[in-house]
Amino acid sequence: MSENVADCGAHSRPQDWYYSAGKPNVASWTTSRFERIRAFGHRSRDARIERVFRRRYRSGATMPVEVPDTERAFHSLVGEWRAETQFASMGIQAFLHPSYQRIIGLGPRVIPMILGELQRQPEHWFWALAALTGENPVAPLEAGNVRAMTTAWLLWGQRRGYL
Amino acid sequence: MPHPWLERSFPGLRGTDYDVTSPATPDYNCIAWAAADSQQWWEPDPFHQYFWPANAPRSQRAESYLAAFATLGYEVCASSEVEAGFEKIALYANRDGIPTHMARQLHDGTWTSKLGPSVDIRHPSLESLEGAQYGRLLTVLRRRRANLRPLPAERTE
Repeated sequence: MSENVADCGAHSRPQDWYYSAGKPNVASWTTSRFERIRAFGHRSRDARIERVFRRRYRSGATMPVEVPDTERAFHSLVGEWRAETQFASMGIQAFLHPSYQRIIGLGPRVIPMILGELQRQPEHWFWALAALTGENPVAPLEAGNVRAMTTAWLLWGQRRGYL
Repeated sequence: MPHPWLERSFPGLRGTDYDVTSPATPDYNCIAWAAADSQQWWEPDPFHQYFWPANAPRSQRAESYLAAFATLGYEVCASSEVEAGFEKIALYANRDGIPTHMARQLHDGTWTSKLGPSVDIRHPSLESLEGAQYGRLLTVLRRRRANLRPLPAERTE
């Protein structure tokens, strides 16, 4: 392997520096990359990135190379979820659907997106909102009343500055 | 009139005399519709986010559904045929016995189902909804029409 790894002009994509064929494994590439930067003692842009990374992620973590487009991912998952649970009679089938779970997995940054969906139309986002916020603003007597539950969550969103 | 988008998920409807009887709405589900309630979504969720009769356990087991409908006067019966003086509901389950759907019998012996957050349909038989989506018929419940009780006002909390 050339020492001039970080400046390789033979490959257009960083992934190609270490993988000549097949689907790139970005996580492994990231780890390998830092190992190699350390080994070769580069004073390049990558070394600066590494220093920032080391400050931000103290140990053991892999630097997130690509910041996911959360909003695009969210809407894509919403579309999948709606299509695949349109006839799910029991809510639990819809709430445990992989796309719904992945939406929850996107974390609190999707709360305003979910509330935006609720503003457009009542829908069963209550399980996800409760999971993401640890709260349930719906009064016990309104449990199951989808319109009232929607209103309660939208008011909650306004109070919390999400809307 | 055939609805291909429905028949793709419910091939048993093909060639049968079924109708779409309501627009899609997330306001209620098949369990509520079996109980003739179109105002709320019934769900035995463990977090008490949804309505479930107070004295019925909150779990995905069929026993929870039987207990919920026992509070309305329903008991298991042997036949899905029309019986004078009784109204009937049906419970579907997947191969693990986990409930997937409910339907309610109409006066003429046909059945009405709310398909998740989608539409209500009238379908001629219970078999027409069996398949990959809802599994198979698990059991049929009935109650005397004279014994009709109002929806439970008592809540779980």
